[in-house]
Order: sequence, then structure tokens, then C-alpha cells
Amino acid sequence: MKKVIHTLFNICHIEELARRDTWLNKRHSVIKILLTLLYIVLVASVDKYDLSRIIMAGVYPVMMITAGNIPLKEIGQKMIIPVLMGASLGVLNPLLDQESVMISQSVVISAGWISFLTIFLKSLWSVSAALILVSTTPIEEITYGLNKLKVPKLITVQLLLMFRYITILVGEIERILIAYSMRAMTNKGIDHKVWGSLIGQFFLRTSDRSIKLFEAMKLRGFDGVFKTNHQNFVAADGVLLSFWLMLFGVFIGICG
Amino acid sequence: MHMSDALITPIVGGVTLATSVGVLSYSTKKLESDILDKRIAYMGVVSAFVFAAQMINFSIPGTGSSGHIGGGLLLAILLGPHAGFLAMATVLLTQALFFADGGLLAFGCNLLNLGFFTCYVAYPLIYKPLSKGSKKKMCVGIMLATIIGLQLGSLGVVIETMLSGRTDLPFDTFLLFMQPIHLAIGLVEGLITVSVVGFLYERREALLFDFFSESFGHFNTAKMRRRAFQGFFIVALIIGGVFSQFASSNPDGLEWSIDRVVVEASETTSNVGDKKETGIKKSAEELQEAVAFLPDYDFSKKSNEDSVLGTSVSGVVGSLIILITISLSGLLIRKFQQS
Repeated sequence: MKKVIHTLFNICHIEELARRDTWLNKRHSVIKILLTLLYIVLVASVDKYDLSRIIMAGVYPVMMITAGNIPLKEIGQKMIIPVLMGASLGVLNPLLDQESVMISQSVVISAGWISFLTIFLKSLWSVSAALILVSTTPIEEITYGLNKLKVPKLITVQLLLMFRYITILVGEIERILIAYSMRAMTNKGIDHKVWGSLIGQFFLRTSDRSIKLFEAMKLRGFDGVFKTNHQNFVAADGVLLSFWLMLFGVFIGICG
Repeated sequence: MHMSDALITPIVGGVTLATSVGVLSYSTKKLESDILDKRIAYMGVVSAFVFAAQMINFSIPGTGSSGHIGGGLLLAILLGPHAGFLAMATVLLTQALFFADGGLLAFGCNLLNLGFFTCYVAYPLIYKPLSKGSKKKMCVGIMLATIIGLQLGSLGVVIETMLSGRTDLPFDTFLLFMQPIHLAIGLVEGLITVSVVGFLYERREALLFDFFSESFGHFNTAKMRRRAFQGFFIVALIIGGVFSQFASSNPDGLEWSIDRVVVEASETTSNVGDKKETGIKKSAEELQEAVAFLPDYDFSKKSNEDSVLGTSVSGVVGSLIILITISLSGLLIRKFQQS
């Protein structure tokens, strides 16, 4: 359970990162979303034996992490499991594709290893691109950007609402479990004898909280649509977009 | 069962994304004419519940594998197929963005596998006709619809992976392991869905989407709406807070399938080279070569020795140098900022 809570609270931490005042954080969300999508398509289009190109593609996450001053350790920790999961389907390639590839006069390895490494790096870069986006853009700005890109408001409102409910839901679970563990003095999970009363506590706390939440939303004028601040495009947004479009173009040009 | 960006090509990702967007636009239009403003908060809570439930893996007895619920049918039963599909889209988008669980390019694949087959195939064609009448019939309907929905979803994973051709897994072997393990996962998910829906049917039937009238009759009053809203928070908390004590640490169905294939493959490595070039894979590679941005191989096979040294070694070394240089520059900039 602690693991689930820890994982879910990562959301809150990512949100804190997204609300910092770095140069990259201040860029328009539409630009960042477009760059992320374009980059992921570019990475996905690299051939499975094309190790040098996929290594080169790492320039984007490295530069964006630097520009956004994103803590490497934290983003690295968040990437471990998704990257391993993503690369898991390529783990068989060294066994199944044993055709020889010469990397120098004396070194020959199987093509499967090349394709496995490529899949691993693709996984690493695409996961990091998504994490860079959410670490430099608050959820409201992401939904604003998605709306500007013609994603229906219905979907973006749902995204925002669910995002908020997750943190509330996990917060309630955590408070109750902390209270329980301080009284039970055990690390072996919740005793089955108290499940009933615990669920009762969940009920009381959550019902109170959800009533307050929904009423507060209505009192503040919630009518089914979240209002977000308007963002203006500035010159720096154009610089960011042009810079990366140029580099992507160079990447395609060099590699093509 | 979430697919990642690394395993699909832009063609497969693009086609499935376009298909999913089409279905999303259909479901959005159907909902806009509905009582959406009254249902939006409930949809958010139910989405959060499925999101939390998907994070908990349960053991599959006798296999050494584990799995998590897809939740598509549960969403359809609670919200109706259109709102259920939409809720699944938000769950998958949140997972892709914040947990890197399933990629952004693979969003279309995942939405089709987990959302479309359950909300628009299993729900109307299996659950709906079988569930009329009694609670017993409803349970049978849920079990069958969950299993068939998940089978279609795992079949989708296999087909999309093979069409992309990024992995060398043989199609038949991959299929042979994916379908049975997801049959077992479907059985457990069916039981979980039956218990959740059965509980709600007895305690608060108003929470279930009434597919006969295609509406939430109970949502006519604010009080009932609020109760529904609270009720699902509670079930979400129970699942998240209590049942997760039993969460399994075994590999999930997809990983388990791969492990099994590895064992088989290592036993028959001598002749795998003959069977890896399946028709689907070959066609997919031809299609990709025609359309992909960067279609050339960098490394040459030993049989084509003419360009081996010149391109491969210099390409990899050059790329590494660029990446290392930029990484070091990044670190220096950071040190400078900190000082």
C-alpha cells in the first residue's frame, strides 16, 4: 500500500516541479505539447537497427532537462520501471535475431543486441519526453494547450477532475493508514479484524470530504467547465519552437 | 497490457490514434446531448477509482503471473458505454503522461485494446443481452463480457506489436502465451467486477447505468447524485486501501508471456531464424520502409560488408560523442546555476 501511495504522490511532486519559475516552465503549453509529440513520433520512426540515430535522439531530453532544471535523480527514478516495461518485449531479440553484425574488423555481435538496445533507448527517450512535459507544465496549462489543439473540452475537464480526485483519494487513504499504523505498531498490513471499522472510517471521512468538495465547486461557480488562464505566445516561445524544429530537421537530414 | 511507444511504429500508432479519436468524437457527441453537466463529477470519481484499481496487481493462481483489471467493462456498467469510453481515455492519458505507463503515441492502441473492445463490443453485444432479468444473469453477463473483452484486447496487443515489427517475437508463439494468460486474468477481473457491481446492485442500485432507459434515472435529484458521488469514493478507498494488501509482486500477464517465450526460444534457438520472418511482419516492414522518416539501416549485416566500418562505428561513436558532450554541458550548466 505504501508503494501505491508513494507512486500516486509522485503526481503531487511532479506538479510542484511544473509550478517552478524556470525559463522552460514559462513557455507556452501548446509549443511544449507539440514538441513532445513530434519528438516521440521522430523517436518511434527510427529503425530498430539504427543505434547511432537513436543515441543522437537523446540530445532532446538532455537539453530540455537542463533548460528546465529538472532534478535528474527524481526523473531518473520515475523512469526506471516504465523503461524496463517498455523494453521488455525486445528482450528476446538477441535470442531470436542472431544474424551477425560487424561493428569493427574484429568485433561481431548479433543483430538482436542492436535492436534490443535501440528499443531500450527508444523507451528511455519517449518516457523522458512525457515526463519532461509534465515536469515543466502544470496540468491546467496542459489541458489549456490540449483545448487549443482542438481536444474536446469534455475530455480535458475529465482529465483535470480525475487528477484532482486522485490526490484527494490518496490523501484520505494515507491519513487513515498513518493513524492506523501509529496505533497498531505493525508493518504487516491491516489486521482483518479492523477492516470493518477502517472501512467505516473511510466512509465517514470520504463522504464528508466529497460533499465539501462538490459543494465548494458549485459555490465557486462550477458549471461543468473549468476556467483556465489565457496564455499569450511570446517571442521566446517562437525561439524554442524554431530551435527544435531546426534540430529535428537537421536530425532527419543527417540521418536520412 | 499497456503498450509503449518503443514497440510501435508511427504508422501503427497513427492509424490506431486516428481510429480512437474517431470513436472518442462519436462518444463525445453522444454525451453532449445527454445530461453531462450532472454526470461530470461522478465520471471523475469513477475514473479515479479505475485508475487506482489498475495500479493493483493480483496473483493468477498456478501461473506465477499477475495481472491488473482493465476496468473498461466496469466503467461501461457504471457510466454507460459512451461515458465509459471517455473515462478510459482520461485514465490512459493520465497514466501515459504522469506514470509513463503506456506511451503517448501508443495511446490509440491502448484505448482500442482497453476501451473500445469493452465499451463498444463486450458491453452492448454480451453484457447487455445476457444481463436482463436477474442478478444471477447479470453476473454471468459480466463474467463473459469481461473475459471476451480482455481476450480481444490482448489479441489487439499481439496484432499491433506484430504489425510494428519492432520485436522478433514469433506471432504464433506470442499469441499462444498471451491469450491463455489473459483468459486467467479475465476470470479474476470478472470476479472482481461481479463483486463490485453486485455490491452496488444490492446497496445502491442507482449507481449503475440503466441500459434499458439509457440514462441515470437516479440522478434526477441532487441528493442522489451526491450519494452516488460519495459511494464511489468509498469503493475506491476500500479497493485502494485494503485489497492492495494482497497486491502481487509477480510479473504481469504481458511480461509473463514474454518470459515463457524466452524459455521456449532459448530451447529452439537453432531454428528460430527460419520462422521469424512471418508474413505479417514482412508486410509491416515493407510498409514501414515505404513511409518511415528514416528507413535505412545503420548497421549492415555481415553479408553486406561494403559499408560496415564506415557507417556503423563512426555513426555510433559520433552519436555517443554528441550525446556525452551535451550531457556534460548540461551538468556544467547545472553546477554553474547551483553555485
